[in-house]
Amino acid sequence: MAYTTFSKLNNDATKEPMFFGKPVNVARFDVQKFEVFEKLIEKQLSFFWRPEEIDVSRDRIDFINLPDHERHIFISNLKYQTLLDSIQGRSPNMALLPIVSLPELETWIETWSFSETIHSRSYTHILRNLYTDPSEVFEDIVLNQEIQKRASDIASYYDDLIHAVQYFQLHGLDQKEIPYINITGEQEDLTLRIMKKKLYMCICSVNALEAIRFYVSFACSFAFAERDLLEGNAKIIKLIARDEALHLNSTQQILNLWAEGKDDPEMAEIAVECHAQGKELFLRVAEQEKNWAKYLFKNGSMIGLNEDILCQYVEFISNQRMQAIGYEATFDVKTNPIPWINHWLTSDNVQVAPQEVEISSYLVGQINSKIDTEDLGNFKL
Amino acid sequence: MTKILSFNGEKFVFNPDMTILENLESHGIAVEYQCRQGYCGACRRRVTLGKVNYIIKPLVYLKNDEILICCSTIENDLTLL
Repeated sequence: MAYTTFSKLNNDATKEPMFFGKPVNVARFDVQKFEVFEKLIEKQLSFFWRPEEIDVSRDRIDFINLPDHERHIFISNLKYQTLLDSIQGRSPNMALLPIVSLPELETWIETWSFSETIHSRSYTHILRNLYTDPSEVFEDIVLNQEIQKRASDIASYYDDLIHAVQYFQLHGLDQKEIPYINITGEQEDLTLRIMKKKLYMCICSVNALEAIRFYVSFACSFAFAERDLLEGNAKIIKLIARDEALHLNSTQQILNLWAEGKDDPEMAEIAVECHAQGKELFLRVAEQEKNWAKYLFKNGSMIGLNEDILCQYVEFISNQRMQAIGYEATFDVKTNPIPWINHWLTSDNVQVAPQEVEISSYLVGQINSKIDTEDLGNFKL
Repeated sequence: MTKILSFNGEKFVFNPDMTILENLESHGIAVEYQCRQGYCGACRRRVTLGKVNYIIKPLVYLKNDEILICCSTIENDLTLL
């Protein structure tokens, strides 16, 4: 089934599943199947920021004065985040746009990916200030073994889905003449259900990425700022963390809508079928991030944070995020080992430009066009 | 009318000028939160009895017995897990 940028088929998108239904034609938002994606778009747009708005010039002095092992922590995290956002700035578009069927979800995916490109740009902004020539840092991202291990794990789920969908678009699902050779070089019977499974695992992988992978780096950046160091960087990371919470929300929405049978019934079956695989994926990501913490602190800890505490934090948020998608909590950590981080993750405290010190969200006074008499039920004369 | 908030077996008189999260914090109880605006889901809790009113409508996917405490007040006596 070839992809078309504008299908002429008369199409009621509210009756389509999120993915693998009819392609979206008219980008209309007056009627929606899942209004939440429209709300996420509005929220994300209201969060808009640019890296240049944040002054990072003081960070250079702090950075120069850091001991070597703390510099390693700081720069390694920046490298890892650069990798994550390099992937996220393109992959949701590449993997999901060809198969999405709802206009609000399509636009959410584009909005989401776009915000990741702002994050990528902000790493350049930070690094340009710390180094006269930041090439060395960027070039190491594809050489560093620790980062590469994670990169191939994340990319594989996206690539697997993209590859299958590209075959499907060129040849359809009839494999009599041209067999489907999957991305690992093996012949595979490609069916719609198998593509849906690849999609499920891909969303699980993105969910785990947004849920856990970012947070080890976030914790380190905020731990520096707790000591009044590298505060420009922390301000940027705070804005990134605010965006990431929204992105995580969207993948949780998708996974829950599937699991609770509110979208494609076949996806509800797949959610049950792939539950164990999804859980395994999540636990593997948690393990990888704990290993990342070990790598960060290999030459020594930083004040306020060490490998043990950071690993406990990974376990704590893993529990939380797994429960949010209907998986059971696995780790025996009941309370947040670094409660001070929440202060940094609060939306209210996000400061962009001086003129918007208190208000992080520009979007106010929106009008709800759907009002009926029930909404006025609480009015008394 | 005074409303009672029960949390983990402890009972508090609810201050209607604050959210559930702020009420708990005012009693020195540390609960998990992040955005405090209803879009991250970190403060998700289960309700066993009672109903909440939302100041900000949550954007998060919530199951039937789940609520967000950062953006809600209580409508009647409420028991939280």
